[in-house]
Amino acid sequence: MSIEKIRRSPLTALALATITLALSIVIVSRGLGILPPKDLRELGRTIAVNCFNPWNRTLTSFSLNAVSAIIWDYRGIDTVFETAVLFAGIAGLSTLFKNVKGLTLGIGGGSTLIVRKSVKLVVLLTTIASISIAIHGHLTPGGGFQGGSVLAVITSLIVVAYSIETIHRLGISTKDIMRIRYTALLTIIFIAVIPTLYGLTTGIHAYFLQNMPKDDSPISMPTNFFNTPLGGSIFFLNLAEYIAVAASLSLVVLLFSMRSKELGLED
Amino acid sequence: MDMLIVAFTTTAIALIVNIVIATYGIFTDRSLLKKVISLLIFSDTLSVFAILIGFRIPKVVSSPSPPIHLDIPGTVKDIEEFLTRTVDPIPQAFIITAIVINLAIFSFLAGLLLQYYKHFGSLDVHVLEEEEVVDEVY
Amino acid sequence: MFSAAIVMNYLLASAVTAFIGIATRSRKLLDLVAIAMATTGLILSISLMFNTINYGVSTYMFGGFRPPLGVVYYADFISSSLSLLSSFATVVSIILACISMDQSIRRYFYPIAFLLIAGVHSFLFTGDIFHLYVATELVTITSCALTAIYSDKRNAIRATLIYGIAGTAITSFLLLSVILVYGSYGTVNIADIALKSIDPKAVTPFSGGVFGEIVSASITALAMITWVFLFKSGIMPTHFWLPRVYRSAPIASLVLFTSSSDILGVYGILRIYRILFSENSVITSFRNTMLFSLTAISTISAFLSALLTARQDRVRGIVAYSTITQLSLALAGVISRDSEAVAGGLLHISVNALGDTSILTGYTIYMKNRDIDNFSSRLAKVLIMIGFLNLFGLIPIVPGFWSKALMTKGFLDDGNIVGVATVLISTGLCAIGYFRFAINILLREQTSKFKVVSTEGRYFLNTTILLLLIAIVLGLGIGLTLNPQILNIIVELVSRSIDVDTYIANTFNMVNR
Repeated sequence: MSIEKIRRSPLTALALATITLALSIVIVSRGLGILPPKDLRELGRTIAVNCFNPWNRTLTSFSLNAVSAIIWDYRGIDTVFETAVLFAGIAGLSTLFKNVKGLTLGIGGGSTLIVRKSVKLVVLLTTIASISIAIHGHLTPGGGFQGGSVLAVITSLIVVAYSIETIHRLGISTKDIMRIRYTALLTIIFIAVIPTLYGLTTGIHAYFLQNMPKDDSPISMPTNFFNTPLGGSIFFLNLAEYIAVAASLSLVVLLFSMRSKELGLED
Repeated sequence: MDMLIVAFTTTAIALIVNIVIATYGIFTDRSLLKKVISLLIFSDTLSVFAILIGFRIPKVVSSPSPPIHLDIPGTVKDIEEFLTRTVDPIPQAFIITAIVINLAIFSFLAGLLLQYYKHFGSLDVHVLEEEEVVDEVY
Repeated sequence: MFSAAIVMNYLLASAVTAFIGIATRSRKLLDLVAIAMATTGLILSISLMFNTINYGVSTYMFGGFRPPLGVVYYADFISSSLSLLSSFATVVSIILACISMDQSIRRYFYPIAFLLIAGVHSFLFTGDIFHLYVATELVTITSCALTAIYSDKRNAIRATLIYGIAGTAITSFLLLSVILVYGSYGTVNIADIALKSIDPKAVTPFSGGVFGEIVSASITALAMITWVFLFKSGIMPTHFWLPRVYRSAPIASLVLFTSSSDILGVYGILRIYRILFSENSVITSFRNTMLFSLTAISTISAFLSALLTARQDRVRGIVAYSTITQLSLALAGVISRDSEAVAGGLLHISVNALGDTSILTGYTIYMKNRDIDNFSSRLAKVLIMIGFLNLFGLIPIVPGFWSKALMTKGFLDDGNIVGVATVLISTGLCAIGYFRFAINILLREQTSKFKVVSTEGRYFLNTTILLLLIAIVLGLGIGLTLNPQILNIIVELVSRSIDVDTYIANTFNMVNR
């Protein structure tokens, strides 16, 4: 069946109307509660109570940011898989561009002096901001992914203001970035199994991705760094995720800013 | 009826209409690029929808706050106070996961679009499909 | 414990093979590590199988959080047997990649293949619908990447784009239904939802009672999730991607698809209709309507795809349409009320995967050795025949006979004459395609009369994989023929797995095993 037929067919209209109607009925009949709700859902409430709760040590994760606590502690395996999806996306992308010819190393003048000088300043500030966003992921809004995507902006800034050759001249190749990326992924998996490995060596029961002590397992990641809350493994996982995301996104930016001849798209 | 409820319900239904329009785009547009753009609209609408579900108008304080403690809670009272104003953190956590997943998928799809253009010289779905003479075992 | 270990093993395998692929030039090391990690996964799957048979269920809480607060894995007999199937397919696929893929391609293939299997296992084990969504996305993107691994083949790129765009759109609907379910039930744990869909007044620890009015949200979510899973298995109205993908993906990827990612749709429908929204849930009448239309869909899909199978004359076409036929039959079994038919449907999934794997492996090795008359090329012919006999399934020494027998018996007990007719007629129609192709292969003369013993040192691998597959398929078939009471044990174990009360009780009184 051709697209034109699908577009005009009454069946399409009927299907779309049914979806709209069904979802609207869900909302109007208060299927999701009264919008906007006045109360929290009980599960959200449990997490909001426990994300930083020194009085309930078996359920807390010592993270001021409840979202970070969910991402890396309560539902940590989701995020490990999410990183795996990101890894798969990048691996698939590198499969598509197997025969990248490499940069032809043209002159690559870049923008005017004013733009280049100011970009230098902005790059410095952005780096500091991104690190701060990542390592304070358990204290303030932010986290590994957010910090990493801010850091990847730098790559695109340099490509636009200077040229893609500048990145090459700085000694960064796509292969290096891939290597950093794999190391970060291995680090995340390693942090996830640290409690289990430690438990196996000492004979104590421990879970994958365990952060704070549980009823049947006393093993705990560090809670405080001097007097700043560390959130246990949340801090380290955020750091690894920061590197992983920054490397992946920089790779995407670098690949897509190559010339089509260099990407192997033209002969 | 409360104006706030009307406003929120209208917004939710508007988001649903947006989702349906995006679905229409995905399945009926000829251009693969526009299909991908429709997909982007779809997933972003979904994010807003989830955040809307997790939102709340607290009873006691006038405006809700993000699910983050502003200070280290010293007593149980602080946590109770935090509960009166915070929004639901779970949809936000879901959506950050979904956003990363979509980012991975869209960068992969963008690479595929480039390759498609290289092979077929257009982004139309209806390119002439010719049987490739291939070795079947590879 | 084992369920989590399997998934972690495959994630680690993916990262390690990727790292070795970029760090060293030694391809021998890469192949060895890949085969070793895949074998470890298979051993862990076998251990999980024994564990679930001993204890009935194997559960794991990630991070030590009790459900519904944290994500849990729940492996019962059904999921652990399917896990065994896909772990076995991984080993076959990795060896097949060593045989048939270029060296430069393999280092891209291994990491993505391991990620696919990690996603598939997570899908099989998970007790949480949001994690189900994440696993589905992982499976979607990795199967896209595995299809497009030869990026210079234009049809592969086209198939991947069509599958990628449609697959992502459909999976977004899964996310939409997860959001709806969370908004309405206030939880994402499957056992918790199952409990509250039976008794809306139930209050559970951590997640409390339901939040909204659950009936309309459940109906919408059920309809959307059903559509998603039909697409995942390529059942007929949503099958447009499957033949394209099967015509252009590498053989090693096809072995993975047919025995891991494509079976997820049928498995998901089983889980949704038996556990999530079970017989006594608040939406029973809508659920019955959906079950009726699913029966109709699977019947029509089996007929049409069997007709199309009869018309194919190339191996990829036959495998593609035959997969749709067999999965439709399995779907018809799985949604049946009789637990014998459910067990038959699940057995049929494995039968289809083993049959397709045999045909694809045998054909690959046969074609690679077609100019040489040696032991492995003759063995390959034997394997292709066994594969076709298994899919045909009217001779009792192959497992295909017993899955069809079990399904037919279940349909008869249920009084479902249409189901019996579907099984028989689709078998007959498919047989035309199968045997035309098989006779072609048998009659084809070896072009060379030379007796060559070894080809590029792969002779050992070729013979091993062929003998392994022949042994597994015939061993399973003969074992079932000699001891038909094994079938009764399987039916018993399956009917215990699809009992919703057991599921809820096991999840809430969770112990780590």
